[in-house]
Amino acid sequence: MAPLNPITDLVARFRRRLTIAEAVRAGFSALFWGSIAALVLILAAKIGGLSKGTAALSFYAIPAAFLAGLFIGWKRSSRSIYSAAKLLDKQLGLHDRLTNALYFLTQSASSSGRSPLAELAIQDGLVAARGAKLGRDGKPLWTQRATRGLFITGACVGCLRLLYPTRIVPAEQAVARETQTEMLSMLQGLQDLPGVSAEQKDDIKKMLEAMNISEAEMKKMTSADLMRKISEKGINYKGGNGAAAFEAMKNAVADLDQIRQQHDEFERKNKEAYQFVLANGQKVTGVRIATQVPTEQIVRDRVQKAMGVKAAVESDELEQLQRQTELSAANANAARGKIGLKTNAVSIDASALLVTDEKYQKDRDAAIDDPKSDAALRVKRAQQDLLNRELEKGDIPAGQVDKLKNWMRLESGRTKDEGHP
Amino acid sequence: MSLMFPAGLWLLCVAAGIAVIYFLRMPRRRVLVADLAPWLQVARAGKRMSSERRTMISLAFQLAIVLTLLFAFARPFFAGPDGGRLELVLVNLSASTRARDDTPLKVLEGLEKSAPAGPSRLDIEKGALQTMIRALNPGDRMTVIGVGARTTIISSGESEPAVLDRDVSLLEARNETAAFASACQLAVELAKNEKNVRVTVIDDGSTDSADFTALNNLPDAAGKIRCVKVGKSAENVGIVGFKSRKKFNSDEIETAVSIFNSTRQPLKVPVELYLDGKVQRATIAQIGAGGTEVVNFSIDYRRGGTLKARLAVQDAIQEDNEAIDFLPAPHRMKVALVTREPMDEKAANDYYLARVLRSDTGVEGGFLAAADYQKISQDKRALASQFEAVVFDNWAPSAGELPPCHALFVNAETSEIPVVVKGVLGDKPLIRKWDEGHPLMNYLNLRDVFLRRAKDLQFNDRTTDVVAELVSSPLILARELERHKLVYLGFNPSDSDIQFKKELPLFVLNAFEWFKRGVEPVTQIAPGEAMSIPVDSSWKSVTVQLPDNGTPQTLDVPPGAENIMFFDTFRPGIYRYKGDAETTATRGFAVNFGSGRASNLSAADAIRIGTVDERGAILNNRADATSLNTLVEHHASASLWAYFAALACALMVAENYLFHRRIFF
Repeated sequence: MAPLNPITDLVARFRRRLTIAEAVRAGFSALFWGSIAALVLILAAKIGGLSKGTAALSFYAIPAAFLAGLFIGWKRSSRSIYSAAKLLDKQLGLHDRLTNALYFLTQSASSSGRSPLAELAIQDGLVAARGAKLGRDGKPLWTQRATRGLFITGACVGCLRLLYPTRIVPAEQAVARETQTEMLSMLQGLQDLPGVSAEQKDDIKKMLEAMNISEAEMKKMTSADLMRKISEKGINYKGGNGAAAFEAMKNAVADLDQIRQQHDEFERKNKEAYQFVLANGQKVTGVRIATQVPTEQIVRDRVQKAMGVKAAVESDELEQLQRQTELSAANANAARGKIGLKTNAVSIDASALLVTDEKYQKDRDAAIDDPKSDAALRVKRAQQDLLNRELEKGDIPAGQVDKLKNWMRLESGRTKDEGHP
Repeated sequence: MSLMFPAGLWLLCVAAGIAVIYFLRMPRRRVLVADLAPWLQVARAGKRMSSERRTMISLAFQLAIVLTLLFAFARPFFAGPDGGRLELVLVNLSASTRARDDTPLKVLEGLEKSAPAGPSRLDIEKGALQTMIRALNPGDRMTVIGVGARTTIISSGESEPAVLDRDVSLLEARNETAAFASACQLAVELAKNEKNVRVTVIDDGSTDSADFTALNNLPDAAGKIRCVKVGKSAENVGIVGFKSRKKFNSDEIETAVSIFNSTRQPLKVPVELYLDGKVQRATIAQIGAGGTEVVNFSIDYRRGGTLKARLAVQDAIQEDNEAIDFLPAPHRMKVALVTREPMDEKAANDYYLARVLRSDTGVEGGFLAAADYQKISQDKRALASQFEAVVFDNWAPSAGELPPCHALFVNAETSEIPVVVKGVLGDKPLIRKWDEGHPLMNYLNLRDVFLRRAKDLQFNDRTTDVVAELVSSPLILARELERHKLVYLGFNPSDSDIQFKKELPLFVLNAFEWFKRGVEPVTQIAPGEAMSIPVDSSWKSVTVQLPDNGTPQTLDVPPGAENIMFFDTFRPGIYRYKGDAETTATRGFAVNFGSGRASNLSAADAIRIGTVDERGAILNNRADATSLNTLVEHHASASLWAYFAALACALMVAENYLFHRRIFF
């Protein structure tokens, strides 16, 4: 007897194909309801005052509906192998040859044996199955409802664009690309500043968390928006020097732009010749004194100052002197306390300390003799530390501070190391 | 070409009537009828009106047409018993009439634009005036007085409605507050010689009744004074003051923005500061109801341009949400450092005094050797034009070679600061005291400055100040001459540790700041205020560029003049000017208007005019609060002719239709 597989295989293959086709068709039809849901959700998001990003999540309703449709279609399409065979016979015009053969095949052959008619029917079915070609499924997968769904999806896109128009910020009002980069690097670099205490690090961390303005957000904002946003975050933020730091960050948006412009202007001017043409045509040439070009370091310094981060101490000599004096003052106070005398807080004048220090005096004399000597370097460091402390007090106006810092950089020869915008 | 009576173009509608008549007279259609039809027609003919009667009715129609046309031509009107009247109208044209009272108050986000709602107060005033003009009778005249800070007569005793209408349509709100007192005085003077006069005040309710006191002097015959109020209490926040100035002893600009809140609730208003359209600072101001808040911004003074303060709100008056000021480009002082010996570029830039100059962004520095300086000093013009300050280091030129500008003499004597060097104090002289109040000593502490040696000076000149001194000799001297200032340092900084201390740069920076000190230029005026423009001695004329690309005005500079006056400053904006030798206008000034009175829209009180008793109360109130609807007693008076003309047209159409179609005849 010939193998029975061709008939059952063919019908099973046909049944599987039918299931898939119906599931896909149901999925496509569900696109309609998915797009309707997306449209409703977009409108609801707009009414609810949600952002464009949130509203755009509504589009997930469309693939979700497709998947749901697939599942429902698959569930609905379940049919017996017999009915699948009937359908296949009808489709191939085999006049129930496959169905009959399948029917007789499913009858138990061992118990009573098959009738000749059954055998003939099975043989006939096998012949038909061997010659049958399923070809492509006759029913179209795409439905009219799916087409409508596509149109509604298009309407959803239009609706989203209409309700949430794309914002094009004019160049003069936008945050400059360089400023964005600089601000983000400034924010990231805050924690790595030298001289930051553990408490300040925590404070900076909290501040950065509060700030949390991404590059993508900055691109969409006008400078005024960004400033307003930083202002609002600053008002809500409760921290040590947070308010001042937020203010400094806010001002940085504009200051960086101005500094960049002035930087270019000074660079240009510094390259010009220093020459005079006299009335008699004679030319007198001097040397152009190159003005220190402003850098973004000015803004970084301001933010640092606003955070209460002090400049790192560079002079070991001054630091040691001060530590010793503080220690001796503490000892003196303790001794006075023991014998019942008042313990007055002692204020330490670093400048006066230096002047009376013999080692410094020697360095100073050597520095005057040779301003490029190692002694001169030590004297300069000590004086710069003193200047930093003076500047941290905040008595000197910001404009003068910038100039003094320029001078300090020139004195320490640090200008070449610093980048500029 | 313009039309005296543009409304007359409505008569073009008559053409439509003519077209209708033409179509009525179109040849009748030929219609084929059954043979019986003429007989039926004949049978109906018996019921028709007689031709005599028909002709009579037609005649009556035509007579009526002629009569109505004649009436129209005769311009009938209802007049008072004593002839034509003078309508004296005082109309408020102050800045507050720009208000659109129906505009809801809201904070603007990002690029959002303000969307004002409803008509402006000025539009309503114009509407009221036009209603009054339409109601003028022949023989009546109207004088319209525009009231701002200046009183102007818009039209004087004009009887032609078309002229009045045109004058009124051209009215614009001014950047001024309304000074009704002088306008009322003028109205009283104009009314004195008139027999039949009526005064009408059209105001937005922002004016105090006391300003109308002069109207009480109107003759009794003038009767009640009609007061029309066109404004209502509206929500507005405005900038009432905006000024910037350079901070003392600092390269920063400080700006103060005064904001007035005329609403009945406390507000949080975003305030922004722009320089040439780029935002510099932004904050949120909290202002109490009816209160004023001053917001201060501090920005780096790195460049000049147009400073603009902006309130990001939508309210009744949009114009007062912005204010401007002109920020001149920061001036970099041209300073030359002159030493005895020449130096190459590297050495010159690395010299300790040059490093101080390099650190000052307000200075444009150059280095010259003494020999080169002496060459330049032979050309006095170059000496005067190329340097604003010179630092002479250990070398000073002779009296004839001195520059006519500020100078700092470092360890070098000059005839302009008469000192006698007695010798050198070489035993580490101590600085005894310094004048902390002198501008050169700002933020300086000379206590710990170490000097190896200094000059022992003898000094008797009272016109020179001793700024710092040693125990036995002056150390730093300063002298202020008529046009320039001089500073003398009686020691060499390289013989001291001052070269490593902040005191040296601070001292030099202070010296330059002191040199720069002078009268601050005027950068902002109010509309209509005269501007004194400082001119260079080489200029023969000055060209002033008006705001919004207005036609530039050229003013001749009289020989020897230091300033010229410019008067055409009525339009707010930035005015830039340049001398005839300049290619671009870098200098300028701003015309800005801001007034608490103009921005205050909270009050809209009724006007009261009359004699004031001892208690300050008004007796016999002459003000008659008149609503817009009751402003005109008989609307149809002067325009009766138009109604007659229209009736004639209607009769003509009717007669044509009825007679030629023979519907009833």
